[in-house]
Amino acid sequence: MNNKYKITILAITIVIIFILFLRVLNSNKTYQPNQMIGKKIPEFILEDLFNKNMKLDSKILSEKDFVVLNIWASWCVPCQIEHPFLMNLKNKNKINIVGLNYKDENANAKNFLKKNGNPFSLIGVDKKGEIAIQLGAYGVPETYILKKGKIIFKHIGPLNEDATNKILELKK
Amino acid sequence: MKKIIFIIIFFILSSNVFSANEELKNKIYKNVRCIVCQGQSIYESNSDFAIDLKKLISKKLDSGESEKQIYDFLISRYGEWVVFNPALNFNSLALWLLPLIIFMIGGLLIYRLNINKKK
Amino acid sequence: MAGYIGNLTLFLSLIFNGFLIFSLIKGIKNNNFKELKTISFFNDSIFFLLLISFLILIYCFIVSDFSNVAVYQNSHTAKPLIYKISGAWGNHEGSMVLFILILSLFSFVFFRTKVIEKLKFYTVFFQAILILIFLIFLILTSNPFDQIVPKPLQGLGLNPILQDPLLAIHPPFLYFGYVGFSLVFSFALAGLVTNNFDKLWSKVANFWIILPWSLLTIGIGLGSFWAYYELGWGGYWFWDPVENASLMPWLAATALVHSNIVTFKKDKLHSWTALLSIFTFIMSLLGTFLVRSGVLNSVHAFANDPYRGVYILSSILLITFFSLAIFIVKSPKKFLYEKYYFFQRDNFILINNCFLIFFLSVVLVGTVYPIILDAISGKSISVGPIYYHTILAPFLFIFLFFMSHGPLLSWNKEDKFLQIKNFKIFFPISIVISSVIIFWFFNYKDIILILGLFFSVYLIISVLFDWFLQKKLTIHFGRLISHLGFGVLIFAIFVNAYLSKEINAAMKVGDEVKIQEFIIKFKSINKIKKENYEEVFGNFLVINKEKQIELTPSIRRYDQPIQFTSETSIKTNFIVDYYFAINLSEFEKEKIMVRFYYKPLMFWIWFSILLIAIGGIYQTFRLKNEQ
Repeated sequence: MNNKYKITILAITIVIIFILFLRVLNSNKTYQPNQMIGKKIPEFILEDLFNKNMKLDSKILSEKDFVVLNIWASWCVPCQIEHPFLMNLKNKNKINIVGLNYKDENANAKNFLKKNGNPFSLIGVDKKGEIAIQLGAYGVPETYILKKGKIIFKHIGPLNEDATNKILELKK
Repeated sequence: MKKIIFIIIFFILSSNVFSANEELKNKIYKNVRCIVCQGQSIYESNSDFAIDLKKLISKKLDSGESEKQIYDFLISRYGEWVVFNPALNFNSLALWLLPLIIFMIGGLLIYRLNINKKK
Repeated sequence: MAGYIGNLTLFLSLIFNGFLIFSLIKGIKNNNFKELKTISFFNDSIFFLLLISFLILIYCFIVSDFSNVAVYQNSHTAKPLIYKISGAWGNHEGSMVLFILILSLFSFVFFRTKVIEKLKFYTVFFQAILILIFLIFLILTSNPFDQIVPKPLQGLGLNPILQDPLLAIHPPFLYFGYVGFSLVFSFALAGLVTNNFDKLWSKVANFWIILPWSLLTIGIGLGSFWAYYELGWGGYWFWDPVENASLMPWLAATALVHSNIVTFKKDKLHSWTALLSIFTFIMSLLGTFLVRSGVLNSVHAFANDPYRGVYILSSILLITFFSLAIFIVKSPKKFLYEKYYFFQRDNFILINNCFLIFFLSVVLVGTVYPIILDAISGKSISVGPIYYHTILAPFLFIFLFFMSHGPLLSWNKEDKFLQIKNFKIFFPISIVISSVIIFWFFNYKDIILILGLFFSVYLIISVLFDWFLQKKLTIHFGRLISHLGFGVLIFAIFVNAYLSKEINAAMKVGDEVKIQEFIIKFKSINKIKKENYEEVFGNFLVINKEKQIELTPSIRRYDQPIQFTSETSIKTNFIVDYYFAINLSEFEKEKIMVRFYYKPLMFWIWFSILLIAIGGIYQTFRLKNEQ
């Protein structure tokens, strides 16, 4: 092989490496697990925060056409930021939102809702955070959109303008 | 007498089981990535997420699930990234093959450069 | 004010570097290599100007000049002096200045050695190009003398985990190693371009390979030692991408150290040695890229800025392209036509190189592949210790075997029967020693452990055998001590991996737990207040059979920025380390999480790394005296 070919091959290799690493540089480095998208939610039955006789049951959720499941806690600061968006979704857009109260004190959670309003039709109490792990969440807040019990969309972190628009679009 | 021996054996066995279980727990902890801390295993982290996962794994182990079942569960929830030890599959194939190929090329080269010993 | 002078000297060094390159090109064009005076003047000036910049930066840190961005972001008035100073290279900007300063220092020293003028000319030329590339990078994207207006009253502080005496000296060693390889890179390119890649080249190069190699060895050892006592998880090597980034040039350089001996002794293997010289520095650059560009999520990674990443990436790839292109065009005698006899020293060095390149490729693929896979397919996989251990261990054993016999072979005569004789001596001795160790100390027998101990003992025996046979010890001392160190290192790593014990417990004052053969008593706690942190000590007593060991781990609360760190307490008797760390518990509020580690032979891991480095340093001094 003569040198011209060798150098051409070298140049091509270098360009490929450049493009690869450029993609690496521009890619999003925070990891977002999306394994659960497209899958059915795991089975669980949780007591409601306000009424011990009410239950947040995955079977009942699976019968509904469109449910927003929001994981929240009173101690979580970003949850306060996203709260107005949840209130809007419920009041303006009449969307059915259920809550998953994550590793919280019941009294604090109730206080939080009293102060900021309650957007949830039902609130499952996940004292140990186990159901959150079953759902594939790794922190609060996270929001899941369920269609007949299947997770079709998931948002990590506090809801914002874009995320709520996306939810409304999915509703249609 | 027989009873006493039985009790002793039972204790030895159960203590072994206990320590083996602890060892296995730590082994699994070290092999599971703490996703929120990035770069650490849950063994090395005291973040909320790591503590929850540790509790859950401990519970699953105590209820008799195997190491593999636990990894499978975690992978189904958080993706392959959550486990440090890459399984042998299409994505990780290059990881094992590339170095071996390089080694083989080197070996072949040396073989070619060697003069036949009979000469 | 100081900042302006710093900026000025930085710009001046860039301008002088321009002059230097210009006059070098003029000399090359006119084929006149005698005009060394001007070259020497510019070359020296650049070094001194950069040195002044660096000293000014340190000065800014000492006087806490917060009008300087780098100082503002990484320092604080309430910090001990030593960490103010080390803060100067504990951040991206400052460490880049050090990086360039070392490039220039090597050029400065090299200029004073005895080499053919033409070679000297070209080497300084390539080195100046490197300085140019990184100086522009520094000034454009990470100027250490950037000012803030108005001047803040207080700095943001240095990450407490970095406030450690070892970490003050660990990066300079690493940089001297990493960046030190630049000189042999430039020297190799010079040798190629001028068709001077021969025995003489390799004689001079030897010094410039072994010196940075020794420093890098120390740097890696220090980093690992720091991780061991500071991070508090009882481990000393985590296969973290940043650790790997320092291991890759080390492995390449180790291969180079050996192949260069063949080039020197037998006038063979030129093109491979040249390629390795280039490749070693490229590995250093790759490490720099991985650490600096923010493609990694790691404890070590510096704050990232995508623009920086693109610049480093393009410059590194340009350097790679041009150096390899030069290699392709000017590569000396084809080593593919050389002949080797199996039982001869040069052939065993080929085998050594094959293994080292394999180890390197494992580390390289393990570090880079997941990053690239994630970027192109969005699939994230983790590559952890188990991967490295599984793939490396079997090869390591064979490597140790070849390493035991290689140095006993002759350079010029093939003697198979001597090696069979040696084998008949080493084999039974190592079998006896390793089985005594295994049956004496271990409760369970793992095949990997047995093989690890056997082959490391085998190497140690062969080195000692070699040692006592040598008549002229001074020539071989460097190699013997390094090889001995490597044998001890592997031995200690294996024993440590299989005999370590750990205990986790939640305890409060007055508690006593008995786990395995240890009794741990939590006796008391006490608090002290220091200049920049508060510290809570736990006083523990560990009873292991008759031995009683007192340990006092602590938790520190730093004020600027507010952060908790856990300080370990380690007692060693040179055979075993007793290692204690505590953490605030989130499970149970009133208790403290206690971690106790029983770590055998840790001292020997550090000591053997030191031996490896000492061998190298001895060799550099011997070479220096010879020249």
